[in-house]
Amino acid sequence: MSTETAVKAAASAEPKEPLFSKKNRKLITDPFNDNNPITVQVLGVCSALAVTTQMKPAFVMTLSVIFVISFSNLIISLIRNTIPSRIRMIVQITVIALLVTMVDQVLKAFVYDVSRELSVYIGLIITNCIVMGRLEAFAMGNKPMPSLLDGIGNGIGYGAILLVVAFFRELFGAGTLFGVQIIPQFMYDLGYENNGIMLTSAAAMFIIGVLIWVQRSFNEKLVDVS
Amino acid sequence: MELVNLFIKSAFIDNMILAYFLGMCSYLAVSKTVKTAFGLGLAVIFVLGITAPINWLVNSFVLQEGALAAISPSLASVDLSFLQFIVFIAVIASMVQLVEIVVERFFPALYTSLGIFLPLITVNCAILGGSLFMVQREYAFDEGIVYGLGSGFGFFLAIVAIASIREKLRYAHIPPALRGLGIAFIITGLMGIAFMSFAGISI
Amino acid sequence: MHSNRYTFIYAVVFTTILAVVLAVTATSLAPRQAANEARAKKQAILGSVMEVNNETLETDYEKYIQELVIKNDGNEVAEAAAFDIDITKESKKAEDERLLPIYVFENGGEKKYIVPMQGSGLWGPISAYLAIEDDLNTISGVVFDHVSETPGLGAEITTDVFQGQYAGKKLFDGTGGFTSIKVLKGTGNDVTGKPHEVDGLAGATITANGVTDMFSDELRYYTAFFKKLAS
Repeated sequence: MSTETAVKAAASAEPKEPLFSKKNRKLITDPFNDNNPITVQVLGVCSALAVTTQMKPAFVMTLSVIFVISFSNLIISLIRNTIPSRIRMIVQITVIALLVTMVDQVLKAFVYDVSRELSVYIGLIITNCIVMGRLEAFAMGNKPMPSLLDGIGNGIGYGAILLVVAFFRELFGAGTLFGVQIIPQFMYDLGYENNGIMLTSAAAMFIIGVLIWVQRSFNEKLVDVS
Repeated sequence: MELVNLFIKSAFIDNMILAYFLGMCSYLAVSKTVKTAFGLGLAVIFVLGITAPINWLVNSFVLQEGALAAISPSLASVDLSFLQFIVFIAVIASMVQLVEIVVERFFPALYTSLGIFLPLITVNCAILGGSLFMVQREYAFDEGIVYGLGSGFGFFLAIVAIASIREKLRYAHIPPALRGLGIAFIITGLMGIAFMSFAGISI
Repeated sequence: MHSNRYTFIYAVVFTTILAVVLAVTATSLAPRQAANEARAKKQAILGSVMEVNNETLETDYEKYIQELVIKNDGNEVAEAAAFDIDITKESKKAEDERLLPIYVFENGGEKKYIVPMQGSGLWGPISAYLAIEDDLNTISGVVFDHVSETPGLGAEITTDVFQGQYAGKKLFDGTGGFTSIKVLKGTGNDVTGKPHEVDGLAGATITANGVTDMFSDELRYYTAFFKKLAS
C-alpha cells in the first residue's frame, strides 16, 4: 500500500532537510492523485456525501477539514512519543474533538453567525475518518513538520474530490453553481428538468465510483488486480 | 412488541449504511471478502450494542441539565451537554480499544486483515450517529439497547451483502479501472436506492 | 510498550488537562454565547413580522414586542417570563403543565401574534417562529431554523423561497376546525388556492415531514388561546 511507503520515506528523512525538499513537496502533492484520501485510501466518505449537494458547503467543509487535520496532525506528532499505545485512539480522538469543540465555542462567542453556518459540520469533522486515519497512519510515526504538510496535502486532496462531486450534483440536481443559476430558463421552458436523483446520497456514490474509474484509467498502478 | 418493531425499524428502514449513508469508510474498505466483512460486522454490532446503553447512562446521569442534582442540589442547574460529543466519542474509543485488544489477542489473522479499519471504527460515524440519534429521539434505556443492537445488525447485513456481491463480481467482465473500489461505490448507490423502498413502510 | 502504571498516569493527567481547558473556555465564554443566542432569538422573532435592522434590534424589540405566557387552556400565566422559557424542556412536561410563550407584535394599528415552535428534522432539532395576523387564522410570516440538516436539502427550509410560501396560508378551515399546514412531498406541486398546503423540498422528505408535524403538534396547544381571543 502506498501509505506505508510514504510513511517509511518520511520516517527516514534527514533532520535538517529544507522545508520544500522533494520529499516534503511529495507529501503535499501525493494525496492529490496517487494517494487520494477518498478515491484511494477510502477515508472521509460519509462527509463527502453529506456536504456535496451544493458547492458552498463543500467549500466550507474543505477549509475546515484542512484546518483541523493539519493542526491535529501537528499536535499528535509533537506528543507522539509520550502516548501509550494502548490508549492511543482515545488520545487521538479527544485531541480532535477538543480542537473542534474549542473552535466551535470560540466562534459561538465571537462570530455567532459564522458558528451557526458551521454547526452542521462539527459532528462531521469529529467523525471524519480522514483526520484520525492520518493521525494513525502518519502523525504517530513522523516529525511535526512533515506531519503538518501531510495534513495540508490530504485536506486539499479530500477537498478536490468534494468540489468535483458537488459540481455535478449542484449543476444537474438544482441547475445552479454556488447558488447562481447556470442552466438558463429557456431550457426549462423546452422541457428540461432538474434531476432529483442527483440530490440523493446514492448519486454521490455513483459520481465517486465514476471518478475512481476515470482516475484509474489514467493511473494504472492504482488498478485493483485481485 | 414495541421493541421488536424498533429493532426492525433500526435495522432496515433506518439502516445506517443504506438509508443514512453513515459509516461508509470501513464499509467500503473492508468488504472485499465475506470473511473480513463478517468479522467487522460483528465488531460493529458489539460496539454499537454496548456504547448505546453506556452513552445513554452517561447522558441521563451526568451530562443532561439537572442530572447532577442527584449528587448535590446545588448542582441542579449544571448543564454539561456541551461535552456530549467529546464524552460520547471517548466512550466509543475506549470500547473500540477494548475490542482491538481482544481481537489482537485471540484472532490474530482477522486483526491483520482488518488493519487500520479496526481502530477507525472509533470514527465510524454510524456509531457516534447511533448515540446521538438515540439521545435526540429520546429513547428509554431498553429502547436504547435495542436501537444500538438493531443498527449494528443493519450494518452487519449491509456489509455482508456487499461483500458477497463483490466476491461474485470477481468473475464478471468489468473494465479493469472500475474493478474493486469503483464498482463497489456504484453498487452501494444502487443498494441505497433499493433500500429507499423501506422508507414507505410505517411501523 | 509503556508500563501499566505509565498508561494509567498518562490517562489521568491527559483527561484532567483536557477537562480543565474545556471547562475554562466554556465557562469564560458562556456569557458572550448566551448574549449572542438571545440576540439571535430576538432577530428571529422580529424577522417573522418585519425586516430586521441589526443596528436597532434591541430598541425595536422593546418597542414592538410584548411577551405573554399561556397554558393550553388559553389562560395567561402572569408570573412567568416568556423569553426565558426553554420550549424543548416544556415539551417534556404534561400537557396541562406546559408553559407556552407567545409574543405579540404591535405597530400602529397592526397587531400580530408570534408563536415559537420546535420539532425534529432528519439529523437534529428544527425550530420556527410563526407570525399570525390579527384574525388569528392567516399566517403573516415564518422564520425557520435548524441545527444540522443537510445543506441544499433539508437546510433549504431556512430559504426565503420556502419560508415565503407560508404567508397567507390559513390555520383553520371554514368551520373553525384546526387543520394546520402540510408540506407536500417533492417540488413543483401546484398549491395555488390551497390554504393548508405548501410546496415541498426535493430530496428532503423527512425534514419536510418534520416541519408538518411541528406545525400540527405545537400549534394545537395554542388553539384554545386563539379561540378565546377571537370571541
